[in-house]
Amino acid sequence: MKPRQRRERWWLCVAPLYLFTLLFVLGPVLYMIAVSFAQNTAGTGFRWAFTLENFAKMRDGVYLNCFRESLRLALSTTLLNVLIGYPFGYFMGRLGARGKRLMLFLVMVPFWTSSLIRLYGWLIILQAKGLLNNVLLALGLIREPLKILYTYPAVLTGMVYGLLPFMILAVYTSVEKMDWTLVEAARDLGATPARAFLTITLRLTLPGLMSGVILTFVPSMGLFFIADLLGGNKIVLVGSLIQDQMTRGGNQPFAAALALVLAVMTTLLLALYRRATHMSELEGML
Amino acid sequence: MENGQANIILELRDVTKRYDGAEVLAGISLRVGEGEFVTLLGSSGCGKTTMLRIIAGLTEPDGGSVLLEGRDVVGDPPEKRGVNTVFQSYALFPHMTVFQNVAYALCIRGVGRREIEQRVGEALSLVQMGESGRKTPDQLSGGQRQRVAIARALINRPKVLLLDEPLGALDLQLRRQMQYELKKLQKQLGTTFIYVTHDQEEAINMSDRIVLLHRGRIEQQGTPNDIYDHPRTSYAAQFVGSANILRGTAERVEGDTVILRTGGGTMRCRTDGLPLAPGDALALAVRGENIAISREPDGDAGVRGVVEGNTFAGGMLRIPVRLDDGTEAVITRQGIHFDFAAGETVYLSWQPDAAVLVDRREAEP
Repeated sequence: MKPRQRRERWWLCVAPLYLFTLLFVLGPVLYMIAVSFAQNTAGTGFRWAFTLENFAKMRDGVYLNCFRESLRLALSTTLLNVLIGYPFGYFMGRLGARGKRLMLFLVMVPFWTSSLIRLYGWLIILQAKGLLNNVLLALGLIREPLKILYTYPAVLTGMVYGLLPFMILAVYTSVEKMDWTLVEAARDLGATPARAFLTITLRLTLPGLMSGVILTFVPSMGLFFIADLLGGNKIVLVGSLIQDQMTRGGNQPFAAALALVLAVMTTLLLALYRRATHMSELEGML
Repeated sequence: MENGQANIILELRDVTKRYDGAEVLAGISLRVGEGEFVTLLGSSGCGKTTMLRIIAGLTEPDGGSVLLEGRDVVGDPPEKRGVNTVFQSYALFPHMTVFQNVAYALCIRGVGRREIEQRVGEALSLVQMGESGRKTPDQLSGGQRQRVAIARALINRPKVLLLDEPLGALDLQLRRQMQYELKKLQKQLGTTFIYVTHDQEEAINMSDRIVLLHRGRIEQQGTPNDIYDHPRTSYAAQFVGSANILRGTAERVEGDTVILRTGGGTMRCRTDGLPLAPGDALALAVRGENIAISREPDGDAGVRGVVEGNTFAGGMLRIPVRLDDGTEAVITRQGIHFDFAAGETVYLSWQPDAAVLVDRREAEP
């Protein structure tokens, strides 16, 4: 058989995958883009057209505020995840084989149940007569139950809780791959433990941290049910807004436009982030 | 330990180390003179790498002291010791260029940019890597990485340079060339080298002194010639130069030669002035190249055995002969010609001078 023929047949094998991707990933996205320029009609329907009114509508302060809130929440969620997840993943990666297995198991356990159910758990813990308040009261740390549920901290807690495993696993994977002889070499060449960490360990585990940031930032821009459940209806995120417009609001073109703007915004932020981290890498240590 | 008048730059006093209850170093004492090339030789698990790591400060000993220029450095972190290490895996920083790797130690110390450029340039040309400063480690061959690792370890002008099997990952030809270059570099700089290897050839080619380690103890130390010609123990004789160890009972002493009786005949061996009595159980070491082989016994000297075959390896013919007492002796010959067939009965003999008694004295303290 000629090599050329072989290559053609190889293409046939993977063609279904590409077809599937085109049909079920690219297709809906193109459809969403098209709908975002369509004209809303009364009821749930819309009329094909080319109008920018769906986008113009977003200049309203209410909607701008949704974007601002989403961005603020996503950024603080990601930041907290970095601060908690990096040390967690780092020390996990330095454990012995048995310790690693145990920790990995514990980090994975939450994935066995629906995230919605786990959120109800938080609801029970955080509510006025919930576990947290009872413990604090019993310890005499507070006199009256704290109002935690349906506040911003409650939402942030839920977000960080939900996305932390992704950050931990991303960091852990890169720490696990670390060649610790490099740190010994740095020490041997005169670096203090802190200096060796900054110039060697942090640098080499940066890819893990970067993917952890992406893995937590991207979903946190769109997650809405955590804010809905733990924040009541006080904190309205873009995600909730899209869902609302799709269902109760009955304005599919506006929902599509919101989704498109959210996606573009997230992509731009990621590109910016990639660029910034890449730049600092190029600078090197000198 | 014939260090002569040289200043002692490094001294280990009764250093011990256990891992999970297993004794890795069982009281090592060693003195190294300034500018000396000392090789720690031994098979894997003999404790040689642990010893190196203890000197570097990467591992703490359980007991004993490590003196650098007379000062006990046990407990000092590696960055405060003034010794540097060439790691077995080179441990070059993958995210830095060759230049940055070599400059690392200077950057840490806050040396000015111009001095850094000058000194890194010097160090790189010292190892013939002057043109490769901008490359990253993954663009280099094994031998080039080795050179960069050496330049990086030398940039701080360490008092003692520790090398942990640095040539282990290179092919034979490159290894031989690097042996020569390393030795030359050491002479040129006058830096004290402590070199860890399991390769007797490397140890013999490069060292001023070989320290043979076995099960966490110093089996024997001395110049390569000394250990090769006067192994004190059967282990030393086998490890350095792969000698045959043959056992027998002393029959009589004639001048400085002892006649031993064994299952298949008699053997002769020099006594080196050791006090011996008839009936002593003795072990002697004799190298394969010094053993003569014949179809008839040579007078009363000669041990009988059966040729088991022969194999050709490394330019040498190896002929195993099973002796009457069950011991296997390996005779070596240059070239590939051998007149005896497998299964043939032969007699082995050697000049008394070619054999040395082993395991008769305690290892040197």
